[in-house]
Formats: sequence, C-alpha cells, structure tokens
Amino acid sequence: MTENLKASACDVCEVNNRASLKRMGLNIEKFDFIVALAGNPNTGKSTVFNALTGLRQHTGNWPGKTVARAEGGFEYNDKMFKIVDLPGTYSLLSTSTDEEIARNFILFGKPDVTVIVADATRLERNLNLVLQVLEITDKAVLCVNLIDEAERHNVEIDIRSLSKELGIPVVAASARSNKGISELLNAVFQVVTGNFICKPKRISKLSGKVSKAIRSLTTMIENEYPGVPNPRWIALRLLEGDQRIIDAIKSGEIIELTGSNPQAVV
Amino acid sequence: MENKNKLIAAANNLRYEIGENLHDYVIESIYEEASDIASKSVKNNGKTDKFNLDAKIDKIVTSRAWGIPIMLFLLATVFWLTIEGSNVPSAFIASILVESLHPLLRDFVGITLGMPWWFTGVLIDGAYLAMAWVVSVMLPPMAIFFPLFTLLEDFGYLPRVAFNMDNAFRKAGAHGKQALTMSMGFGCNAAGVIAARIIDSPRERLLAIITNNFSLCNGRWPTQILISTIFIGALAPPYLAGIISAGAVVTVALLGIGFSLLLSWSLSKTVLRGEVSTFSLELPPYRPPLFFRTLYTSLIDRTLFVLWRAVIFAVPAGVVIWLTGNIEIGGVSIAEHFILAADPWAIFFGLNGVILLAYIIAIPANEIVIPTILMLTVMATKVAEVGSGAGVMFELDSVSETSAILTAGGWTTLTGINLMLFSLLHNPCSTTIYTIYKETGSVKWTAVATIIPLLLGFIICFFVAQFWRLLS
Amino acid sequence: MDNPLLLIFAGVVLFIITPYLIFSDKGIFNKYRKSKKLQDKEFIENALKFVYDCEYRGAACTINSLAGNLRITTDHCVIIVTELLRLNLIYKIDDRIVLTPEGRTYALRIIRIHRLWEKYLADKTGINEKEWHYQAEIQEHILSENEADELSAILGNPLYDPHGDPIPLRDGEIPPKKGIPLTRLVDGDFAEIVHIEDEPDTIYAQLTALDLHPGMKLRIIDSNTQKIVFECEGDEKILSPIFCANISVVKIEHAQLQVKEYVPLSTLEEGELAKISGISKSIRGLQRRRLLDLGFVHGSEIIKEFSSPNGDPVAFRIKNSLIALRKEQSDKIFIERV
Ligand SMILES: Nc1nc2c(ncn2[C@@H]2O[C@H](COP(=O)(O)OP(=O)(O)OP(=O)(O)O)[C@@H](O)[C@H]2O)c(=O)[nH]1
Ligand SMILES: [Mg+2]
Repeated sequence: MTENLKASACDVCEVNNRASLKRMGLNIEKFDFIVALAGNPNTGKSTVFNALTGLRQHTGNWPGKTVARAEGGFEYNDKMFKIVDLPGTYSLLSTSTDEEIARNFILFGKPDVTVIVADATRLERNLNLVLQVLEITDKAVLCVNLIDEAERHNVEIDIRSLSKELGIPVVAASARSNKGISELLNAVFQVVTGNFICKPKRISKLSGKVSKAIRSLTTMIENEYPGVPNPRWIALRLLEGDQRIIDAIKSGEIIELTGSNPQAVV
Repeated sequence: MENKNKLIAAANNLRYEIGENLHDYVIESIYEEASDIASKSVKNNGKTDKFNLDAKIDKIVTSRAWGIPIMLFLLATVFWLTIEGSNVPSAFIASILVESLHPLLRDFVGITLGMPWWFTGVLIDGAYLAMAWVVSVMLPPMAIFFPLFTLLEDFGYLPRVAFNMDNAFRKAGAHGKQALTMSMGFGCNAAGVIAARIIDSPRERLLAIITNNFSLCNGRWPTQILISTIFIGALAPPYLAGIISAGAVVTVALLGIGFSLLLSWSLSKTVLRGEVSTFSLELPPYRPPLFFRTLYTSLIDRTLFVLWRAVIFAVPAGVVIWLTGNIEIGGVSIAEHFILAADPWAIFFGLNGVILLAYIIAIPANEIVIPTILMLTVMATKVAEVGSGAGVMFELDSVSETSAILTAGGWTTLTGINLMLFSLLHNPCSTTIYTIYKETGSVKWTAVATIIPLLLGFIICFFVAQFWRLLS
Repeated sequence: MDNPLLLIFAGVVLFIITPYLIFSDKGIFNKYRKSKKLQDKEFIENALKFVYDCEYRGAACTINSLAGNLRITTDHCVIIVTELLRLNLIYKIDDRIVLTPEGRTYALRIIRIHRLWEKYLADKTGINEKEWHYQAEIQEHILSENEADELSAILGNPLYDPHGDPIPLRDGEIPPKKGIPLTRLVDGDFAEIVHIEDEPDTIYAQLTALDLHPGMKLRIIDSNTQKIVFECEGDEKILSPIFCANISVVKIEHAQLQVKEYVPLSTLEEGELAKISGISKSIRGLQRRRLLDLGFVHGSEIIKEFSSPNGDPVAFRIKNSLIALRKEQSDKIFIERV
C-alpha cells in the first residue's frame, strides 16, 4: 500500500479519532457524559472498558469474571466521559443481584448512552439482552465484539442490517486488539451529542393475556407520567413485582425520568 | 398519591390474574424476535466444520479416560514449574535484599544516623526484614504461577475443570462452579471468596465461601515448598528430590480439594442442609490467548498487586515479631513464655510451640510463617552462631542450614509433615476473614469459616501424630 | 497418657463421635430444635391462622375444632380463646369463633410470612420440599413485618407460594380460591394444577413424593370412585380420591398445551438434534428463569455435545453456546425429536 492509498482509506479516520481519545484511568471527578457497559457474560465488556480507560480490569475467558461494578474515565473530542463496567448478565428480568445492579443502573443511573457488548459468535442469545436494554433506554450503541473469533468460525454479520433492525448504531469490534474502538467512540459520541437519534426496536410479539395487561398498565403510566421514556418497561417491571420500581413510583423518583437529563447526577 | 396507589393496586390485580407464567411468556416472545433479527443479519459460511477444533479439544479434555488425568497433569505441571522455577530467583533476591542490603541499612540507621538500638531493631530488623523476606519468597513463584494460570484462564480451560469436577461437587451437595472459585483461591483466597458471587443460590455460595480456604493460596506455598524439600525431598535420592517434593506439595493441594469436598458434604448434611438444584454452567469457546499480552498484564495486575498487599501486611507483623522476641518479662521474652507454655500441648498434635506462635503472629499474612518459625526456633534453642540476634528474621542461604536449625530445635519428619498439613488447614488470613465478612454480611458464618479449618487442622494433625507414633 | 492407641481412641470419641451425635440429622441439636415447646404467642398465632382458614373455606370454627387443629386439650384451648377475646382479635357468635378486623389483619400477616418463607425456601434454597412447611411454621412466629417486606422484595414480591396458595399483600386481602378438586374431572379432561393443599402432612407427603406441582398440566385417563388415573408431564399417576381432593385444578383445552409429548432432554443421544418444547413446572424460581434466559424456550434447537467423565453433567449446544446441565435438570426439560 502506498502512503496515498492509506490516507484515503478509513484507517486514517481511525488514526485521527484515536488521537483524540485520552484515557483518563480513574480520573473521573468531572465528566460530561456517563456511559454504561452492559452485555452477556464473557463478551469482552471489561476488555472494552480497559481499551477506553487504560485501566486494567481483570478479564478472563469464563462467564462471571467481573462481579462488581467498576468505573473509569476517558476524554474524547474534548468531552469527558465516565464509563461504568457492569457485571455480565444473560437477562435483566430476574431477581439475581448482578442483574439488579445492571438493570437499576441503566434505568436510574441515567447513563447518556448504554453500550451493549455482544458476542458475534452467539448473536441470537445476545440479542435477548439487547432487546431488553432497548426497552429501558433509547440511547444505546451495540458493539458486536469478538469479530475476529466470528471470522475464525466463518460467521459473517451484516452490521448495517442489524443497525437498521435495531434502530441504534452498531459497530463491529475486536476489543482485545483495539479494532473498532474508534468507531465505537464515534458512535457513542454521535448518540450522546444527539447527532444520531436512536429509534430503538421495541418488543412487539407479546402474547394475549400478558400483552393486554401490559397495555392497560402502560396507558395508566403514560397518563400519570407523560413523557416517561419507557412506560412499557415500567409496566412490565410492575407486573414482575420489582420493588425498586414500586419504591420509585411511591417516592416520585419516576418523575425524574420523564424530563430530558443530559447531565444527570448520580 | 391517589393515582400512584391505584397504579400499584392495578398492577397487583393483574398479577394475580396472570399468575406465575409472565416470565415464560416474555422471554419466549423476546427470543422469537431475537431469532428473527439474527436470521436476517447473521450468515454462517461453512456451517459444517464450525467449532470443530473446539469440539475435538472438548471431547478429549472431558473424556472418561483423559479428563481427570489431564487436569491433574496440568495442576502438577503448574506447581512443578512454579517450584522449580522460583528456586534460583528467590535465592538471588534474598541474597540482595537480606544478605547485602540488610547489614548496610542496619549500619546506616544504627551507626551513621546514630539511632538507638531498639529503633534500628523495630525498623530494620523487624519491618524491613519482614518486607524483604516476603518479596524474595513471594515474587518469583507468583511471577511464574499467575501468568501460567492466566494463560489457562484466557484459553478457556477453567470452566472445563468445573465441568469435570461437578459430579464430585454434586455429591458433596455443592455447586460445580465451586471448582472455579477454588481455582481462583489457588491464587488468593480473598479473590476466591469474592468470585463465589458467580454462584446464584445462597446456600451453595456460602459453602464455596467457607471452603475456599482449603485452596492452597500463594502465601502458603513457600512454607510447603521449603518444608517438603527439607523433610520429604531429603528422604528420596538426590536426583529424585525435586520431583518428590513437588509431588508432596501437589498432594497437599489435592488434600485441600478433598477437604473442601468433605466439609461441603458435612455442612450440607447438617447446618446447611439442602439439595443442590441449580446448575447451569456456560462453557465458553476456546479463545487463543495473546501470549505476551497475558504475560505482561498478569505480571503487572496480579503479581504486583498481590505482592503489594502482602508487603503491607508483612511490615507491621515484622515489628510484632521483633517486639515479642525482645520485650522481656522476668528475664524471658514474651515469645519464649508462650513457647514454653504451648510446647507440652503442641506435642499431642505433632507440632510445637514455635509453630503455634508463628501462626498467631502470621494471621495477617501467611507468607511470613517460615521466617517467623526460623527466628523463634533459633531463639528458643539458643543456636547462637546463626542469625543476627533475638527477634531478627533471616533467610538462610542454604536449605541444609535451615534443616540443621530445625533439627536442632527438635524437629522430626513428623513435625514437617504436620506443619505442611497445618499450613493447609488453619484459619484464613485476616484479609480473607474480612472479605468473608463483607461477602456474607454475617458474623456467624465468618466465625464458622474461620474456626472450622483451624479445628480441622488440629484434629488431622492429632491423628497423624498418633498414628505416626503408633507405627514408628 | 502418651499411649498413641489410647489417644487415638479418645480422639475418635471426641472429634468424630461427639460431633456426629450432636449435629447429625437425628442428633441432639436437631432433636432439641424440633422438640422446643410452643410458646403462648405461637398458640395464639396458630389459632388465628386456623380461624382465618375456616372462614376462607366457609366452614364454622368452634373450640373443639380449634383444639383438634392445635392438638391441645379443650381446657388449654379455652384459655387461648379467652386470651384471644381479651386481645379483641376474635368474637363469638354462639359457639362459633369469628375474627375481628384486627384479628383478620393479624392472621393475614402470619399467613403472609408463612407463604413467603415457603416461597423463599422453594426458590432460593435447595431445601427439600418436605421441610418447607415445617420450617415456615417456625419462621412465621419469628419474622417481623419489616423483615417479611424485605424478603418479599428480594423474591420479586411473589403472589403465589409454591403450593399455589396466594400470598397476601401487605395490608391486603387475598383473592378467592381458584379451581375445582381433581375428583370432579371426567375421563379425557385436560387440566392445570393450580393448588396443592399442604395439610395434613401425610397426604401432602404422598403428593410431593409423586412430584406434582402447581402449573403442571394433566390429562385424566380413568376416574372412578376407587381410584383416579391421570397422566402428568409424561408420567402416569394413580391416586385414590381422598388424595385427589387435595389437588385443585382448572380445566384447559387440548389446544392450550404447549408440550404435547413429554420426552425428557436427558434421553437425547450424543450428537442428536432436537427442539425444546418446554420446561417442567417443578423447575421454578431463579433456576427456571436462568434456563429461559439461556435460550431453553419453546422451539429452540438443541444438540447434545459431550458429557463429563462421569456422564453427568452433560454439555448441550443451544443458541450456539455450550451449556452444561445436571441430569436432575435435563430430566425436567422436554424436547421433540426432529
Ligand atoms: N479473540 C478475542 N478475544 C477477546 C476479545 N475481547 C475480549 N476477548 C477475550 O474474551 C475474554 C472475556 O473478556 P472479558 O473482558 O473478561 O469479558 P466480560 O464481558 O467483561 O466478562 P464478564 O466480566 O464475565 O461479564 C477474555 O479472555 C478476553 O481476553 C476480542 O475482541 N477477541
Ligand atoms: Mg468483565
């Protein structure tokens, strides 16, 4: 490859973008945006976290390596980001502690964007969680990680169609070798600055009895809290008896979710 | 207010109506949607030979014939490489920090700065030496063990261990993932206790926490290695000594796994009654690790981190050791008082007063057991020529000299064996105890996890001692 | 004193036999726990529970029936009833004992704790089903209302206990009984179990031994006055009508059955492909959710890949991941061969 060719290829934007990433480690006193990292266990969330912050969260090839939430910071395009590495979960609907941590952070921690890290080699299973996250928040980016492994196993992923289906930016990455990290940063930046408006896919296939119950509760919630971004999720959680949601309704905390809140204080 | 309560009441009524199946419905619908999306955007080229290599590896490492032997072989190899590989660097670091630097510092503080003798004692002979000893004893084995372990971990082998061992754990009433937390425990018990969070059910998680101490952690290997070299390796012809002593350490480690199962089993039958139900373990695909990256990060992240922690604990312990050896009541040091009082009892357990005192002093960090024992033995037996005086921890540059001191202190092969057993079976270090408390939030279970291993240690040592005496 | 043999003997007695005598199942420790005398408070609370239950079933409650239920003498029972009257928890209409509103609230509170505790044991611990009721009987007198709230929150505010009984909400009533007794069904009927009565012990023990749980679907094969034969999750069960009267069911249509055939996953051969048709209702709580989350949902393809050295657990490939399951679980997951 000649110098010229290189300059015109997209490697360059990577170089440029990378140049404007400054890893801030634990230095997260002041920040403009909060990024949450969610995903199935063992998909490389901590690896992405480390790539962005320069920190050294432990990683390991088994599900459940990270058990507590970790925080770090980075600077990108002159904006400061705080990023939170959440424990890996298969779902957000159960009563186990790690799922509670993840679920409550995505809803009540009010991240400006939730990056969902998915394993390219088992996308369907990962989409289960992706769809649940998209019920909670409409600011999300999907990072299809381990793309090198997918290639090794002859799995091909149509990133563009995935993005269209889900209504959020989707980036292919191989976090361990830093591939795709700049694209991820760019996507994150587009979402937090409002340049990319997500139209997240919402679950539509709920069956009879349940969907009726959810619909009637959703209407009640919409009437009571106009502007709340995720009435259906709240309805679903009420039907699951989630104490955190019940408390939030009783204390009025739910109202805070209704306004737009670019700079939430957690 | 009105509306809020109405909302919650409405939800509750709907819930009574829907019954228990909500979750089933919801997940099924989500998965339907997920399959739809996935089928549109995922293409599988060459579906037939997909994951083929993985499957082949799995067939072997979990097979009836090879599964368990491969596991033991890997465990033994990791230990053996650690033991063999750390000998030379340990001696080298010790020769610098202890033999060369220590007298220099001593002279500098005592003579050049003109500090009083007790000040030099506490600071240099206590704190500095404890730190120096911990570094020289711990750094090399950890710098070998952690990278090896991390390579296995990154490759994806650990969950297969849990898979192979699950049957044993099931019979003990425990969760198969306990094998994972145990593996973490070989590095550091506190880390193992935290890792127990991956176990969902509270009962089995508690079992994993309580029994984690039976994973022989890094801090205890120096004891195992040194003692097995002196007392067990010596029984074999010289060319086999290395293998035999490594074998003895592996045996103790396996015993630890055995005790873990045994204790889990007896707790499941008594105070933590219950049957195991949940077990769903995801076996991740094998992922070739990045060799040098792994080496680097495991050195920086794990080795230095654990070492730093050990140093922090060793420094105050060093001070305490020096003080017990130098504060005298009625002309005899505190240490000697204790040893004299404990000796008659310790004999029943095939141990001695020195060992017991060393374990009390070493509660903060197991790494300093051996130096403490040597120091106390020298003091108690008044072997004057070695060491640098009362309460000074030292490293002897050759195993044979250490051996000579211990023999002079009345040690026999039995004492050696029982020390190895006791090092496996005693209360967890203070960090682990604190971690257990944080994780369980219960004083009761923290106490149980602290006391049971200790009791077990005394019981096992007792029986070994008696049978030994009976047979010899 | 230093004869090793003697010491070994002493050691065995001290370290092995004594702890065994104290802590084993039949040991002193357990005996003591079980033999503890009931306190007054416990009698009062048990009495309230019984009166409430009578009212819920629409039966009359008298001193005699109460004494029978509490297994005490009538004299003792009179003392308890007097105390209840004094506390204004009950009042009497002729011989009938009726709850006051305070009494009802109190009774509901106890019932709530009882059922929550059973739910907790069922969902979060591996404690044997036979023990649930017994342990809940103890806990209901110990737990405070706030602790019960906390427990409820942790469990996701459950509305039904593992026997299918509704759990009262805090300060709430409970919905009326659903379902009809199994004895009312006729041959060929399909039904879903909604409730299994956990008293008396002897009948309940029999029902648990048959592995029957609320939520399970069944089909009547032959129902007559002697015995009732029915098929439940693939197994044929035979019960006498007395036992069946303690099982409540609601009728369903055949088309509502998601699982048509009950072939357990554990029968799959290595390398064989199948589709999941459903999970048994005896798998519940977190365990059930975890399986669903991992993709064990109706229609998922599954292959048995390999087993561990002892044959159990087994690794299955589902949704492209390898998931290891123990046989207890793969017995309770149903498949359709393809
Ligand atoms: N080949 C490859 N391996 C990766 C990549 N990203 C991460 N890994 C490896 O995948 C394993 C899991 O990564 P982690 O970052 O620990 O995953 P996690 O999502 O944080 O996992 P939990 O904390 O268990 O939820 C580690 O062994 C990583 O080295 C990648 O892009 N390619
Ligand atoms: Mg992680």
